[in-house]
Amino acid sequence: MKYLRLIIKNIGRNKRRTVLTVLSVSVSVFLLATMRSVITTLDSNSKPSGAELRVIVRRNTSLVDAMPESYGDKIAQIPGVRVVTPANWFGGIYKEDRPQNFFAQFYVDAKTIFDVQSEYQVPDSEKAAFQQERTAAMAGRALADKYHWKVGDVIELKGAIYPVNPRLTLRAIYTGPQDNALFFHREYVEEAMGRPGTVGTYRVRLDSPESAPNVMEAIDRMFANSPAPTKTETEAAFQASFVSMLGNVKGLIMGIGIVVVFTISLIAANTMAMSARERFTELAVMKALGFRPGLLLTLVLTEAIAISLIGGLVGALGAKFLYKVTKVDFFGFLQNFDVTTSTVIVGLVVSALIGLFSGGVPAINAARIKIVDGLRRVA
Amino acid sequence: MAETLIELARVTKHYKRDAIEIPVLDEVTLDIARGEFLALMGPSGSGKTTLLNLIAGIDRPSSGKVVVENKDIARLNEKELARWRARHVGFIFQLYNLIPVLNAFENVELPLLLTSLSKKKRRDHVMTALSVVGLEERVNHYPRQLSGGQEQRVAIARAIVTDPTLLVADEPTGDLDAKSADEILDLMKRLNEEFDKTIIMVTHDPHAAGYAHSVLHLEKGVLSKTGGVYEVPTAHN
Repeated sequence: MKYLRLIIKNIGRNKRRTVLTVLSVSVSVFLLATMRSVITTLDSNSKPSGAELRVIVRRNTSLVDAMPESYGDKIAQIPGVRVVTPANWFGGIYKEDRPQNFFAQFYVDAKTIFDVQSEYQVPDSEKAAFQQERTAAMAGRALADKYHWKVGDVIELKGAIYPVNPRLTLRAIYTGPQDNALFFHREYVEEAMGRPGTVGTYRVRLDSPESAPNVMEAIDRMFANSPAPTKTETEAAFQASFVSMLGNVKGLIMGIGIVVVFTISLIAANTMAMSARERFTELAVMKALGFRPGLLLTLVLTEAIAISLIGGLVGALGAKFLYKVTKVDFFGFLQNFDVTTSTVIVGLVVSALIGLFSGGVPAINAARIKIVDGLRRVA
Repeated sequence: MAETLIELARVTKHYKRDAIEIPVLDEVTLDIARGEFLALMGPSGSGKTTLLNLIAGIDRPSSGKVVVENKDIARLNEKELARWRARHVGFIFQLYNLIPVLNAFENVELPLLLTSLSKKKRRDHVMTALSVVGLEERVNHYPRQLSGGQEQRVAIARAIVTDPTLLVADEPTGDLDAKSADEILDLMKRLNEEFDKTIIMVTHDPHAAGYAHSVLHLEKGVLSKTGGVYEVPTAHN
């Protein structure tokens, strides 16, 4: 503790250099926190609450291919199935065709959707209003906040996949996980398209998580020899398949993160080395006064780690604060994007390691300094 | 007869530069009494700073013994030597070598950080040392805010704050004007006479050497008169 003032004074010795070093570390930790948050958000989004009680049925060929409407009743007969609801991805354009206006849109059975997605919390009056009106829509709280929607507002979508332009009235706002989506009536779209009677996915609510393997096998067996065979998977696996479509995105992101951190470490190491070299004589004088090699090593290393930790703190907390305030969701790709506490801790640990790496060699050199050499430099 | 504080017995020192061995000190044998104020003189490269460094424990002899207060300091390991220096030696350098980011108080306090003294006791010691050198009003001044003479006085306060047995000074007035140099030399004389500090001072300046009780001449690593100390009567003695 008695050396704290000495360490602080040395950190403030060359303010511009310290600030630049702190900034370089903070930028690298900010990027690392962002990249790690992409991964944690993808993971978190692929494990929605209540997912253990749901399985998703889709065509075994592709999500683009649809299933007949008649499958719903058949799936509902399978033991272990509590309720089935159809859900189609609409993929319409809101306002202008810009990435920032992208959000998830589903047309669903307004009556059974709540039996399957029981984690959606909606006031009873709004729920009733949504279910009763054919052109009603229900939006998640985050989505409603983003566009400043209120109950009663009209939302116009332009069909991009289907030749339909729904004109919807917002009747309900739900809270809960994945509250960045818009739901409206299947009946409305089906009628507008001349009742093709096709379904993109079936969301199936189970009696218990234990029944999932049997139910999934039974569903796929039931339609195995039909013109539209199915692929049934847990909701977690279904969500994870979207991530896997991106390829080895985790490996790519972490690879970039490691390269960034390594590069910044080299820059920081050079700065720390410069700082220690400039103080060669001072360190020799301190050694002459009786500072032991281990103590000098500790002081120089603590200084380097402190500078890096300040950078880490700025970067990690800056990322957490910035993404929280801006509610960034990367054009809807990463809904509920959040820098978790564990990511902040990882950022701090990485910054401490940068300090350890960058300060290691200068600290060892400081400990090994020969007093007579250090004193001779000025004499 | 005065007690012997420092004994050098057949001390040699050579440096290696590439494959060449450069002799610096050649079998120096010398006794220095407690309370002595000794000036080491000689031309550049004669080995006087090396001799001072060996006595102060910041360099090791190639052979021979350096005994200070009955302890052969050449046998101490680096950790023990550091502890010994912190306790027994005060350093005064030509260029003061204060830490620029620390103010006068903090510079003087630096050696005390190595002790187990409380913050209050450290403060008392620092203030005492600064008052001895007449700079108690400049505690918050940084080295850049002080004159050369004042910087050297802070350095002297740093050297005496742990109450060491021995003060070693390498050209303490080499970077000062004549007036400041005299003030520093007067201060050192006072430390020797009033506070019983044994002082060994390397200098090129015969005027500075005149403040010492005795002067030793080194020539190519050899004392002018082995084992002896020349008494140099001057106006200051």
